[in-house]
Parts: sequence; C-alpha cells; structure tokens
Amino acid sequence: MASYVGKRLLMAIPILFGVSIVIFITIKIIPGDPVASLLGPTGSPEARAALTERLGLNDPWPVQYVKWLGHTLTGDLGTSIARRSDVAPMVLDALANTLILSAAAAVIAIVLGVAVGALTALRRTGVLARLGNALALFSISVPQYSIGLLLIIYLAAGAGLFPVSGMYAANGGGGFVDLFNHLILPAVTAALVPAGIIARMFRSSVLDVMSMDFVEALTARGLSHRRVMLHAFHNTVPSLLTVAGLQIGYLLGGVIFVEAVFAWPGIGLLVYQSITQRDLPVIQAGVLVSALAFVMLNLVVDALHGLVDPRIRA
Amino acid sequence: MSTSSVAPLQVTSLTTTFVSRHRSVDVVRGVSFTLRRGETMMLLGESGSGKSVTARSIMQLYGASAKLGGSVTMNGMELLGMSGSELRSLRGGQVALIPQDPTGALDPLRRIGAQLVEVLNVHGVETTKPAARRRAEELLAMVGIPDPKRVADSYPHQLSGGMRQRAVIAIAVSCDPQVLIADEPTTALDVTVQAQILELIVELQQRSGTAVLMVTHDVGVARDFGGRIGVMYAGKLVEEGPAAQVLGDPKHPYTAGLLAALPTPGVERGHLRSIVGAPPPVGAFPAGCAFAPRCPQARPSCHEQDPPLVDVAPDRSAACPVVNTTVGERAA
Repeated sequence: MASYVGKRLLMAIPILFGVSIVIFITIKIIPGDPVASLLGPTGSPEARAALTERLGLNDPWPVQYVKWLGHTLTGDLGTSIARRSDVAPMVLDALANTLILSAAAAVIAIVLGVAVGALTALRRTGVLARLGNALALFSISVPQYSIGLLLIIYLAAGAGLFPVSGMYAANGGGGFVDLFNHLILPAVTAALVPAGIIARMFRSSVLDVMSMDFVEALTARGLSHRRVMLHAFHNTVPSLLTVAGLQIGYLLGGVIFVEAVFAWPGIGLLVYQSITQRDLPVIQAGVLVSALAFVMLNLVVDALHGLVDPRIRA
Repeated sequence: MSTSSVAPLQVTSLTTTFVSRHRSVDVVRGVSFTLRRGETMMLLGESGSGKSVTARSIMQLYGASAKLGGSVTMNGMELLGMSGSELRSLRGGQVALIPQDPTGALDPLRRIGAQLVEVLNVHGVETTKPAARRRAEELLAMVGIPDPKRVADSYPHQLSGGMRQRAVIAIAVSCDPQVLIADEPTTALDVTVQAQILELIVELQQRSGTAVLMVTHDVGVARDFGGRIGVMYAGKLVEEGPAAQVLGDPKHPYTAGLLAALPTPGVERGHLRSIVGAPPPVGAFPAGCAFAPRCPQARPSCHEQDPPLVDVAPDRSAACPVVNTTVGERAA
C-alpha cells in the first residue's frame, strides 16, 4: 500500500510539470499586454521599454519559463499588478476559502447523491424513486448560476433566512456559526450538479453489483439480507470514489460561477476579477494553485481507491 | 417403491414459475427425486432444461421473483414456506451451494479467510475470531490448498481459478452440510483442473457422508461421477436411474440422442452427430411430450399426451411410452 501511494506521488511530479508548462504557454498566448496594463495608456515608449526589460519579457520563452518556475518553487508567485501586493498570500487565502466551499459542497453532493442513487436503484418503482430520478435529472440540467440567483432572491433577500453574499458578516459576526450561515446557499448551489451526476452513476453501480453472482452466492451461504447488502454496498465504493473524485475535481474549477454569484472570496472569484483587470501574475498563480489542488485531490482519491480495492494495489 | 421420509433431500412434484408484471413462465414442471445419505444425483441436461433452476429452487434463492410449488423436504422437514430466519440457518448450514463460476461466487473485496470466518460466525460454528480463523485454515487445508495461511490472507483475484473453486468449496462445506448442491462446478475451469475438483468433491463426500446434487450438461462429467442420473428436458425429468445403466443403455430417446451426439475417440467419422432441431424455448413448451417434435420415434399420441415418468426396469424410470414398459406408474 505504501509503495502504491509512493508510486502515485512520483507520477504526480511529471503531471505537475506538464501543468506548469501548459499554464505558462496559455498566459503567453492570450491577448493583452501586461506592460500596457501596468503603465496605462499614458506610458512613454522609454518607460515601456524599461518595464519590459525589468519584467524579463525580452528573454526567450524557455528562459522566462525557467525563471518563473524557479520563483514559483521557492514560493514567490510574483506581485499583483492591480493590487500591488504579494500574490502568494492572496492566492493561498482564496484557495483556503474555495476549499471550504468545495468541501461543504462535496459532502452535500455525496450524501444526497448516494441517498437518491440507492433509493432509485433499490426501489425502481414507486413515487419516491420516480421523484428521485426526476430530481437528479433536474439538478444536472439547470445552470448553477440560475439556481444560485433563485436561492438568493427567495431564501436570502426574500425570506431573509440566509445572508445574501460573502463569507462573514461585515458588522462583527465572524466565527463558525456566521461562516456556516454564509456557506449553506453557495454550497447547496455548487452541490446540485455533482449530486445529480453521483446519483445517476451510483444508481447504475448499485444495479450492477446487485446483479453480480456473489450476491446470490452470499445468500446461499446463509447470510442475512442486511449482511448481503453490506457486501454489495462495499462493492459499490470503488466506482463511487471514481465518480465522486471526478466531481469534486470539477467542483474546484467549477465554483467560479457560484463564487461570482455569491461573492465568495475564493480562487474562482479572484481569477475572475483578475481576468477583467488583466492581472497576469494572479491569474497564473490562481490557475496553478487550482491545478495543484486538482492533482492532489486525484492523488488522495487514488490512494483511497487502493485502500478499498485490493485489485488496484497490485 | 416406498420413499423414506428421513432422506436428506426429497423433492416431490417441484414446480418453479418465474413471475413478472406481464407474464409468468413455467421453468420447472413437476420434478421428483430422492437423494439419500452419501448418495450422488446428477441432473443432466442442456441449457434451458431447468436443471440449475431446480437446484436453486431447493435453496429458494429466487425470492419473490419465482413461485414454487410441490414439496421439498430435508429429513422429513418441509422447506417450502419456511420463514426467512429458518431459511437462513438452512442455507450454508444444512444445504450448501457450489456455484458455477468461482470468480463470481466470492466477494472480490474480502480476503478468503474473512469470507470463511463470516460464514462460520453466522452459523454459530465458531464464535470467537481466533478459533474461526484456525478452523478456516483447516478447511482450506482440507480442500487441498497447500499453503492455507497464505491463501486465507489472499484476495480472490490473487488465486488461480482452481484455487478459487477450492476456496468456494471450503466455504460450502464449512458448516458440514448434509446436502451439497454443485451447479456445474467445473464448467468455468481448465480441463486439467476439472478432474481435480471433481475428485475433491467425491473425497469430501466419502469423508462426511454428504449427499451431493450435481448439475451438469457434460455427459463425460456425469459418467466419471457415477451415482444416479436424472436427465432433464424442458423442465421435466425424462429419465432417471443409476448412472452406469442410464448412460450404458438409455431408455428415453432424448438420452439416447445425447449419447449419440458424443464424439467417440479413435473413431473417425465425417461429421459430428446432433439431435435434429433445437430444444423448445423456456415458456413455449409444446403440448404433449416436449421432446416429440425432435423425436425420431414419436407416435401421434406423443404430441397430445405428456407421458409420465414410469418405472421401466428395476430402479429405473423413463417418461416415454415407446420404450418397453415393464412396471406400472412409479410412486411419486
């Protein structure tokens, strides 16, 4: 098991290396001139030339890349153009906020998805199962931002049950309860699509497992229905992990809409704002950190996979 | 011929009907046989003849999807209509199943030892963990596994097909069943391993006096195994008797056709022989004798009246009016 995790860790290194190259090239080829956005429209040609030299933009791309990578590896993510402050703490704070939101959404998505998936698989007929199927389809089909806006209009602004936006109340507040109140609506909004997908996938995986021979064989051994179901659910865990891992990965990247709608100070909102301000160092760092989180998450999922399924470890 | 009520397994006029919302299909249509202590009974037939369904119906593995009729008794106790908890202690306890595919029969995520321990615990054979573990290793050794400790700590995918089937057999015999139902236990295995597994089953049977009900479509397996044979066709027994006699001198035209279809080693012939036509699909059995449409000796009456299983020689019965009938109708 330890060697399996070690192998996975080693494999993550070339993946991260590749990710860094893709990010670097993407930033290079997107339109927009960082020098122009730094100096503004009034910058003189001499000032432009000096700044270009100072930013190292005259070096060949490979040299720029190696320098950038070196800085990144030592924790120096550069200075924000728009905010004139260090990028690293800004991005790490935002990442922490995004992780809080994603984790909450992941818990909701997995609990809801598994419950609805199991219900619709085991009770294929009946009103509840049909309702569950319809809900799963609905939640996959409806865009997140529209649900988010509806929740804000009716539950937050309308009924006043929840705060409208942000992470903590401006006047005092703070603390866990305040965070929890602010968290519910964006987390539910972000959880809907993955919950629907997990429900559909888990349903088919339960049906798969229940039709496998060992379910009958276990009954023939004299095990109770409850015990047989425990074995069966154990066997759905590997595929559940795969789906849930992918969906949580998408959550990390996909909360950008939810963060924008709810003004949640996460990495999505930060990158979104930085794009409108052409704040390249922040975009670069934000995307890199998101990719890093994605790779780490996959690593964790792979490790769990190995833990649950002995066939993968070998 | 009177049938003893203390036979480990007695099946009388068993019918199995699969019911779905739209239709119901008769798969087993009145099968009767008696299995005595230490005896072997082979159910021989083609796919769709109802032999596997007969075996599984005895353990009532189909739940609500099948309606069972007739009677199944073990040592005189009726099994059909038993409560859930009675059935649970029976399954894996007094009557155990060796399924066809050992890979599918094991939980892929649990170690072999843990699966054995679970069965021993559930049936109250060994209640403490270390004792159950010791017993598990003994059982694995008993089924001819050379390093039981390592195999107990292995997952199913780490074992060969033959080793897996041995482990499945260890689980089946773990609670000392009186009746062992083996549903084509060698079909999924290499030919070289098949003989070893059959030998193992015979050995276990001789050691403990277990009665074995073996389902097979392989005439060769039936011949090697001996005991009694029941030939099934379209959900019914068409011939029954001691293996050597049934296979040496078949009384029913279907059995004769099956045997004629076997290639004879050393004899060169232009082509393989087969029975003309195909078995009727389940749920569309013809009226009268189900084999009549394919039968070279069918009389007009065969298409109208379904012949009952009658004694045709001492200890032998067949469901065919064409063979010379000696005795009256066989006692059910």
